[in-house]
Amino acid sequence: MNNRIKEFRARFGLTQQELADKVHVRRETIVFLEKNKYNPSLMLAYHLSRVFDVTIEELFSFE
Amino acid sequence: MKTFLIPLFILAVLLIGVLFLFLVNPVTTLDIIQLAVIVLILAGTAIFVMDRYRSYRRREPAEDEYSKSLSQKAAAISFYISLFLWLAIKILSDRFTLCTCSWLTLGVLAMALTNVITWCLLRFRGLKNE
Repeated sequence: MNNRIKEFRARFGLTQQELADKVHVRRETIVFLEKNKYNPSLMLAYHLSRVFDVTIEELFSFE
Repeated sequence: MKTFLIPLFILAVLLIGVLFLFLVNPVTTLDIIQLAVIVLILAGTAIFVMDRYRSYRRREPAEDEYSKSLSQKAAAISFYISLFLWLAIKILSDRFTLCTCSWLTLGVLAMALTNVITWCLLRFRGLKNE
């Protein structure tokens, strides 16, 4: 599973810490998500998509 | 309660306990091996404490879904390894003469070490596609 979190985070001008605070996780989790070293739960994927105002499918791709 | 204080307290108690034991009793080769294992476990615990402390300073949650997954995965892998470890200890106990208490201590220390190493490896490797 790949994601575009880093791309959207840059577009919104957020730091990893700011994004982590918005979705109530640790910064480390965002780091591993951006490196594609962790697949988030459906709840976290939903919260991330809400922050960036996109659908989950736009943020995550299943290849 | 500050979340990093509990593991820090445990770390301090372990450290004081180990130092006390090795200062009071005469040191043997087995003691040195056990001390080396305990030092490794303490090093792993120190990484864990620093991790928690960093989160506390950033006002992050002490645990989130990633850290919980990490702990669960480390526990699962180390349990699996521990099964074979006890089997190895059973085989070794037939060849080397040690009291039952020492074998049990070695086994428990090896289990703890396995858990610490697994956690550290997963912490740096990540949990890809799990």
